[in-house]
Amino acid sequence: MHDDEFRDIRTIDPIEGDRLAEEWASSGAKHALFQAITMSDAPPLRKLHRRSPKRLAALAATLAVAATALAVAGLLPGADTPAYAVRQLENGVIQIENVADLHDPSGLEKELREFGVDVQIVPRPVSPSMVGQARATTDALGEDEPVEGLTFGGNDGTKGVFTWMIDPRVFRDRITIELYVQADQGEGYDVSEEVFEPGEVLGGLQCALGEPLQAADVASRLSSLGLTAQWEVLTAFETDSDGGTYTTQPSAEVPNGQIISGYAVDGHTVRFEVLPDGQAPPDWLKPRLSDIPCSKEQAARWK
Amino acid sequence: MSYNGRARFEEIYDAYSGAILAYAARRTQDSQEAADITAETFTVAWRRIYEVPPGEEARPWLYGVARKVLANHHRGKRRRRALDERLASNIAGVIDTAMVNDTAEKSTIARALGALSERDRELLTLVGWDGLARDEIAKILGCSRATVRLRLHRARQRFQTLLLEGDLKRNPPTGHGSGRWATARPEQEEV
Repeated sequence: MHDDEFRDIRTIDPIEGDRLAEEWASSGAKHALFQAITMSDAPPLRKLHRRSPKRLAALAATLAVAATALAVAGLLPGADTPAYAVRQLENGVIQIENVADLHDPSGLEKELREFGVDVQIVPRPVSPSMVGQARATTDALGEDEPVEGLTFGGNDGTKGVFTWMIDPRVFRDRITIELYVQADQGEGYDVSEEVFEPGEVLGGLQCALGEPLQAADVASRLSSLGLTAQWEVLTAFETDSDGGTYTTQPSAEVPNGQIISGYAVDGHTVRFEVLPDGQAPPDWLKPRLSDIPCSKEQAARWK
Repeated sequence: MSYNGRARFEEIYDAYSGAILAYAARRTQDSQEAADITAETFTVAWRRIYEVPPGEEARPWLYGVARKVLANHHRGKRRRRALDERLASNIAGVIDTAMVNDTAEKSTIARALGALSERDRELLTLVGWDGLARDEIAKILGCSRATVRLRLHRARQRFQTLLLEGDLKRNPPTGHGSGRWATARPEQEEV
């Protein structure tokens, strides 16, 4: 089949693609969106094997030698492994490394204040795939606004180790950084990614079992994974101009129906929302299991 | 060899953000929503940068994410606002300069396309509008290239039939796609 056959469809393209590409390339909006994404959301973390404490210490030592003006290393409680390292580069920028396991931020906050940067760091226990991410806010800007002068990223490729770059020359306001850390045993998650996303406890299960994902099929696998389910059954829908809302009711039994979403409450508990069999859902209500397209690798985990 | 996630993200953003913006703009009703979908798609890419396939394989991967984000956007209350108002407006302004007004509603071709199933419409527009190759579409939809070829062939046949018949009163557009055109909606794959 030759694409000339699609010429008629091209004639009704609602967008002039070439023109959009040109306008987009030269617009400030393209750069602004890039900045908004890379500065306000999660830093990229390369998913490699976690380094041993010994190697982590070696890395911190190397960085300390490389620091040009000042380097300070905090210690993990009861260990001689640096939990983080703070240093100021020649250009004045402050670089902070190794903060993913930082549960007690008071030392780091104090050191940053000595550099003239007023930071409040709030560790948030999160589900596995979110560990190491961070979110920054200021009183002036409010939540989800990019904070000028602060960059997350620049990690060396190891999960659990990453770098913040804070430029005190452009940084003025008091800043709050929510740091997503690994939860302690039994600790609940403040924030969870959908449980079927890669890196989560049931990541990719929907790729192996196929969708719609039946609650019973998932339930049969939970005990071998050391997981307990909290089931919520959808009981009513209300459609409005902006889509709609729905209500749920807890269920002690595994419901008959398809899972439309799931997220981990803590390391051992997952809450699922289930659309009962026989219910005709409205158009706006579709399963939301993962934003990542399925791959063979994801499915292979469950073979 | 070390790998710089930020540089890779910059690379794919530079190469494909315009295409993803166009993809979203073609399938949503307002330009701000298209801006939101683009922002969400690249936010997922940023968070998952080390899962983005190498080279040009990033393109179908991004379309696959955009397709899911688009479907999520049509779930009403469950969607989240990805952008602040000002940035969304600026991006919408870029889209509006490239909009082709009214053609869609008046054209016989457009009406025939609108009368197709969502799945047929999605396939035809991925080729016709977004210029994607069969193997890329296969990756986006999660099926084989042979399946894409077969489905495209059938969709094309149905489209031709509608065009020839011109009897759209008996086959009115379904109207439940809330976009300018089709609503991307992941469906069960044919085997």
